[in-house]
Amino acid sequence: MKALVRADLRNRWRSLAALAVGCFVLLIVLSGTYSAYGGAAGFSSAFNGKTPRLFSAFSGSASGDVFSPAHFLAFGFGHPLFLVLSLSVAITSGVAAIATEVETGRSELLFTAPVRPTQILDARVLEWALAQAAVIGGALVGALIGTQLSSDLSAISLAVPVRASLQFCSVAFFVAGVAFAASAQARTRGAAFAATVGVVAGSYVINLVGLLWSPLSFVRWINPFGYYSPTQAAEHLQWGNAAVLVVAGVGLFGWARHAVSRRDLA
Amino acid sequence: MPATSETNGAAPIDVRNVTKRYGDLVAVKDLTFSLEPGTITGFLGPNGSGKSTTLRMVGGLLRPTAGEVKLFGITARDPQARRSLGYMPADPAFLPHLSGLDNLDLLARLRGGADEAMRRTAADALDLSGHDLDRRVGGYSSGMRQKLAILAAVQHRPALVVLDEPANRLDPIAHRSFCELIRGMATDRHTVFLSSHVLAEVEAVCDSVLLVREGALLKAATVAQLREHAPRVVTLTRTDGTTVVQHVPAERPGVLRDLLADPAVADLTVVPASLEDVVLALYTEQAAS
Repeated sequence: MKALVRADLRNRWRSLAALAVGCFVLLIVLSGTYSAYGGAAGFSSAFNGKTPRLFSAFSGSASGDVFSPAHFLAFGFGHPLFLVLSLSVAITSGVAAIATEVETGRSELLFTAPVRPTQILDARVLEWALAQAAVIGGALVGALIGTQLSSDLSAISLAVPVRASLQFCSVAFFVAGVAFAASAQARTRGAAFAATVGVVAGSYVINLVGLLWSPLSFVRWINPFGYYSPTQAAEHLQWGNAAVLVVAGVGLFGWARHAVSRRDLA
Repeated sequence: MPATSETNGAAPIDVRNVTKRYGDLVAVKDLTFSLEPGTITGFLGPNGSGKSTTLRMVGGLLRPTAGEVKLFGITARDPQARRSLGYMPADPAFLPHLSGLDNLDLLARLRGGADEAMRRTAADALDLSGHDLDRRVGGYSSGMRQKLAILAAVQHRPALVVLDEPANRLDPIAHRSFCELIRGMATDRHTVFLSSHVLAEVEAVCDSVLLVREGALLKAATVAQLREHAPRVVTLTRTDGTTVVQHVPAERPGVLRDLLADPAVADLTVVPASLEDVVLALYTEQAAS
């Protein structure tokens, strides 16, 4: 199966490299923005000493401070653009794993080999994990370089972006689980893509509404983004939240394996 | 010679009472047949008659709604059954950003590795040069992709080769080479099962044919049997210069004697009907019944 992983990564390396570079540049730009605003003091005076609730919501908390150096840097790992760039790896890898193969007809060359469909799926999960690590790695390197280039962020411990990126891995794992499960079930890549994006985007919006409007705050606990706050991860890793997402993700991957071993593959 | 240890003496393909439904649509209806080792069998039928669906069940891609498909005595969904299978889909798709050779290597590795001599022989026969194989598949013409798919199906010297419409998109020269390649494989005791619309190809390479219509088996016969029972096309030229063309059933040779007894006959030619005529006649008969 190593041959399949290698071939898939070689086939996709341009798009993966673009996503990794995108995340790298985004984190450097965010670090630069912090200095350009004049650091914590500059942001504080610009927003009358209080973090706007919308900014806090984007960072994954109802009223958290986003303007302290460590929180601002960690906020980069919850920025909507970062989520789009990095989660598109999980979504495209998952959708491509089965649904795209079936729709394009590539499955007829692949699945007629003397291998179990679950072995192909497992290879695709490994491929996603490597691709996801490369893209998150790009963001992490961007954050680490950004802190060194920005005088206002240079005092931050290197552990802050490392913790934020590790915490993000649990979200990526869950989203990949959704994408692989949808792909294992769907006949077309359009259906798998729509289902995955629907779940992910819907969950994100619902979580945001729950953070902004307290009567709906309970919805945070029934969607994946409620279990992810990079600014809280900057302080210390949220093991409980990560465990919830990982367990849910394992369930989705298990469902995908079950579905792919029973479905028609052409 | 294909690996006999993997083929265990059972029929290369054994299809027993197989039905495949998609909701209300019955794509394949209670189909039963089996193939002998070392034979080339053509699978014929009009569009939508269930040929590709059947081949996909043989390849283990589709689960029969009822019945069972076995390769060498093992159910086709079991990966072990596909150890001796080479499969070419009707519309082959590869990883577009990789070269032809990289795609071949990947597919060979999934099947336990290529037989280099077989790969070279097949590549030469299909006129696929090293330069062609080094190019990205995304830049291939449809004919080149077809050749690559045939090469991918045979490169590991499988005991059973299943080809879905292999003649599609091949130029006449490549087609002739393909027919020679397939005949050579059968000589080496490989079993070949191919679907085709090109009846001249089936007539040229196949030992036997299976005719299907609306998912059901219409006829199973050797090409020789079909020819034997094919009507003869008789062209009579009379002494007054007029010509008459008649289709004389093979079972009624007395008709020819009667025609020859006519003193007005100046010339008479007898040509066996082509496989195409035979197949069309069978379909027409079946549709009428």
